[in-house]
Amino acid sequence: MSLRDEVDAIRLGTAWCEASHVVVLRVSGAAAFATLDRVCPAALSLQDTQLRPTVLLREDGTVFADATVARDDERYLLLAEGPTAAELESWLRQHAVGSDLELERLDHSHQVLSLHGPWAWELLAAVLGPDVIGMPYLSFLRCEGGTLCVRAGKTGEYGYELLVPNAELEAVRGELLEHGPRWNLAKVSLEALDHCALENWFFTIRREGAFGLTPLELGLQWRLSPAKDFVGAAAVRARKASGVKTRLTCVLVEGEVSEGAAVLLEGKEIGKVLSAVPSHTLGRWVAAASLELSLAMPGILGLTVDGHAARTTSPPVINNRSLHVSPQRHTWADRESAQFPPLTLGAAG
Amino acid sequence: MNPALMAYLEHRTRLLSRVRRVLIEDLHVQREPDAIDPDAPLFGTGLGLDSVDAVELIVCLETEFAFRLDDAALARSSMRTVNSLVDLVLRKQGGAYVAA
Repeated sequence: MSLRDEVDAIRLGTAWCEASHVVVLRVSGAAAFATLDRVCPAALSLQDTQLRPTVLLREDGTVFADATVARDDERYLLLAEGPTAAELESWLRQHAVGSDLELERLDHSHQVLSLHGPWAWELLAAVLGPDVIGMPYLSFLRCEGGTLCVRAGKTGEYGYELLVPNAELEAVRGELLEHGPRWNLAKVSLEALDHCALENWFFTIRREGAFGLTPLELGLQWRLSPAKDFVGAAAVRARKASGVKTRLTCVLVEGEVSEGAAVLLEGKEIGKVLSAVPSHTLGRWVAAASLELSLAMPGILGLTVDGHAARTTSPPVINNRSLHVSPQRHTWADRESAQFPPLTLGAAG
Repeated sequence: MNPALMAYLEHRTRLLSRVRRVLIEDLHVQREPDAIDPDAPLFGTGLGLDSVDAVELIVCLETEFAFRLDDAALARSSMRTVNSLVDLVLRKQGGAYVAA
């Protein structure tokens, strides 16, 4: 299956993958909250089964993990992309607040299956039951056999991570693949998920997160609570006080873009491309570029990248089908008769 | 830098400031203006607005910028980030969405 077909499966149908890029730790003990509160820049006042996206920072304020914290009764789950499970465990122990901290790596006992697409909820309801349909974004559901269904996609479409105990893996994956053909279920790669993440302007630790930037330059201040202290906070505040010089900005380019390419305005370099993908949905390349702050703004025409015309725009650049698919009104079987708007937005297309 | 681009950047910066002020003063977003990332999602994970806030936000923008937003599709596509709200205001002001 080509990357284009994989992206189409995510954008229009259902798609799955084995998500070994997501590491999961179960955090418990009397020091669990205090430790997570110390390392997570986001506020962690969570109700049971609620999730909160955050980032984990090094002491110098740069991002080393794209993380989500989930409250599981009196325990917490920490889902992270970036570090290995061993690195994450070691880092948490290094920053533990108190000695009563239990960390359980779930990579030995569970597998993560990832499901995406505007119709993913319907397929998943057939596998796990109808409660999936009513799940709010950023919550999880406890299912039979110990599987946890986490709703927290990063593609702009309905997205779920299934934390499946090893003993249940064959059964859950088997049911998924048995029901899947009714929804044209396709197996997709991490590259396809990251492609969709960039089109929808979700932060990706493997791409723009690999350049040693802080949340200030990455446009991720919304994942930081302004009122709390956390690992890396002093460095972030110092960087802010000294003046942020660049910000990640979405650039549409009329031709192939290489990562690291200079972004030129009137012949002068104003920034560099950190990551880019060819968006067949838009018919042009979508790039995340680090631009001079005064020019890190949508609507600037007349840019040149790798010799091609380019302009800045407001992301996300996709009019996601999932915004228009309602579990109360639509079904996969009736999708052809539904009137859905095009996947491109007027300004970006 | 050409004067048209400079004027566009200045105008857009002013609009961004006003939209941020609406979010802080009317929608009670608990952040300093420069801590509201222009591409931050308005709802859910981002600034934490909800469906009730969405109605309030439209009313506040209509009042602040003196326009009417009757196009449901445009409203929906504009209610994603702070920058997409600024795009909406620019469009409603009849100015070019993009600068030359």
